[in-house]
Amino acid sequence: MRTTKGIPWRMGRWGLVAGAVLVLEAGGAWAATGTCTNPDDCKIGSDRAASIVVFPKIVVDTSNGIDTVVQLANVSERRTIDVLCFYIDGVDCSPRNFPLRLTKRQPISWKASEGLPFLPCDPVALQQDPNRVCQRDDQGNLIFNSGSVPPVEDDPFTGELKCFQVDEEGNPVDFNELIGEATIIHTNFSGLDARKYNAIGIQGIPGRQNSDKVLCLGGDATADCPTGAEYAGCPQTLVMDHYFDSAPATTSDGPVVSDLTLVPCAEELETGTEPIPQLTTVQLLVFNEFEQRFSTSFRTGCFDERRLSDIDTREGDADDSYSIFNFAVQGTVTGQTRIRAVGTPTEARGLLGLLEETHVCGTGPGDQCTDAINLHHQGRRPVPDIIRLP
Amino acid sequence: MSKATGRPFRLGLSALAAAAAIAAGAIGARADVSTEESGSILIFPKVLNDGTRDTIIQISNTGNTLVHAHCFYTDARPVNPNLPPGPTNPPLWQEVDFFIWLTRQQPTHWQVSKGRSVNPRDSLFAYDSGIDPGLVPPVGQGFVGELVCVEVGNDGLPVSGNKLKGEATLRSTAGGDVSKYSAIAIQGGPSAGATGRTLQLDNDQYNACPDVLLFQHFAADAISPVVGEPNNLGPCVGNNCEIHTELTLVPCSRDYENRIPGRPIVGFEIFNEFEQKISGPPRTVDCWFNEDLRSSGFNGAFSTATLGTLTAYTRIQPVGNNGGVLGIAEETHTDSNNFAARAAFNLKIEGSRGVVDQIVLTGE
Repeated sequence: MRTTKGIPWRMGRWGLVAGAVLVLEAGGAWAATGTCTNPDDCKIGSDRAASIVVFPKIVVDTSNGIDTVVQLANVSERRTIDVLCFYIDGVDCSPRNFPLRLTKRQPISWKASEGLPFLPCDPVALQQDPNRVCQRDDQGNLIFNSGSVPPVEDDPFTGELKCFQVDEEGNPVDFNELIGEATIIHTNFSGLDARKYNAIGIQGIPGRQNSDKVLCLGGDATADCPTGAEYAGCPQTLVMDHYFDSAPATTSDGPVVSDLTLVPCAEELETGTEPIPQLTTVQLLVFNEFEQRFSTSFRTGCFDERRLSDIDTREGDADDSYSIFNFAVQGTVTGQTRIRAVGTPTEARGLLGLLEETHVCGTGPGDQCTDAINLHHQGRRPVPDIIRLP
Repeated sequence: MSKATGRPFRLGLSALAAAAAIAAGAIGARADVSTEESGSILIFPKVLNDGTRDTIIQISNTGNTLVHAHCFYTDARPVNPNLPPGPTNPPLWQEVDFFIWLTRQQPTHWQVSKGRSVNPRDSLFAYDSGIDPGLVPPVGQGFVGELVCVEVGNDGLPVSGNKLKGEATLRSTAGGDVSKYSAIAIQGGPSAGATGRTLQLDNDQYNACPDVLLFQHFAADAISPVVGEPNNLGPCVGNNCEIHTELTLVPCSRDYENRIPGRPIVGFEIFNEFEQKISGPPRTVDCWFNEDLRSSGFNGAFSTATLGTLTAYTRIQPVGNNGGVLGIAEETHTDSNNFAARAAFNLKIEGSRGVVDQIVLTGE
């Protein structure tokens, strides 16, 4: 009887203990990742740390005074992290990868034109510069960086940078500890211009990674994604507020034009695989300030940057005044556009993007001043986007 | 006997179930403010009409039904404009409110120095053409402060539609240089409006404010790595083409009804590229905080001499129970031809505060 009586009591105590552990683990996991603990909480956004960070636009054109400064940081207070990054050329879609190791809470920065031959706490750099003081672990051993950042392969270069948090073996992990920014600087002797945006973070869903090199962004279990979503799903719709091209910036200033950059969520980065730009149809709904609705579409590949007025007209200025993205057609200064990639039953074909505005000014090169803004997101894709790592 | 054994058993199961529920609640209750999703409260932390720059506000309704919003400008100029701001010369904290209406998916905009009038005869291709969102008052010359818009129903009471998104463009009135950031959106939950015009940022009515703001930046007086040498991209005589960064913070809590601004205190943990940690002095966000990282109030914590590296990563965390903060940052790049280029960006967020912030709207 004592036995039968004791079991439930012990079960009760174990229930309490297990519950307490559950509570602590919930909080602990939250504290460890700092970001999300379950699939619904894990998001794509440029305002939070994540396991994948996407810089949709990196530009280098040194002969015209253009370069991009990339900033990347490990926000973890506990661990050194490994990162695998890829520059993806916007012209031929070819990826170029480089691994890094960042110590805890370490920020680094580099110019895309030059890269970073040594990271700040690289053993060689420390030997060359005894004034560098890097951190030590509990046993007093120096904590080193490893890896380097190559310059972009071409000059001029326009393309994308994607970085993945991985473990020492190069397997993706879900700790959500990367943040980043990019500053595109245009300088010459007739002016100076800078625009900055936050890298878009794709959060890993804790406990979902299966240590393979096939990364599943959203969706349910499929043959490629046997455990279902490993990362937050890509947005169903991108939403951007924008000036219509050629609309006046203010009541007394000159016209504004905008450029939209789109990159795919899915990526084929496997070594030896010829990158094939997947053409995706993009549907756009445009609303002006009269709530009038228009729509148009275009097809995009691995990287797409275009002037808004060139989305529905021929490239160049000639037809711009006939575009539904133009002030001459819409009659109102600003609009809202909803961008939706057309997927298939098995491929989400989600997109991420960036909007850049160019204003007429007296201080920028060519009398142009620019700014950049991240796009808003709505919803999630019903099927996964897949990234294949080498 | 069965009672004697069954009760503890049920107690055990109940304990497990209760603990699991608490754990699930702890996870499920989590929510964040966002700069990329629409929300029910929009906060534009930096709005200027200070003589050198003007601000263009863009707000959109991302939903398919009409949206009403109750908006508040807060004038944060010092009470005495002839003296520097400080404890003896606090911000004016003068609020002015107005309402806007947006039809389905309607975007709207206005220039804060001009506001926006209601004129059904606005011609096409005019700056104000479109469905006027309501009378938006202009702000006076010299205005510095913030704009907050709260989604409300026909009766003016807060509702949780999560349909608002926004952007602000800061434009130099002389050169035309521009910088742009996204409004910070706080999403409403199912019980938004349960306490009338007192909005609880408690992860129930509305998302809680972040526990920490993550701020990746250049050192306060960093030399531009791009302007000048080694590629000779643009002029940089004397290698003095600095990058300056301005940090803007606003409280999550404020009471418009009783004219009580939020006054949170924040601490700064700064990490350089060698992972060395430097602590900045705690600062009070007295209704509106806008300071260059070179400011004496930071005691040189952000300077290149202190940090020793080009960039750093800073964690900004509220101290004590005075409320949370939200913010943006803005960089100014310079060359030796006296050209300056600004670039604004949103700060990142981490966690959500356990302490409830509160926004009290004005009544009828």
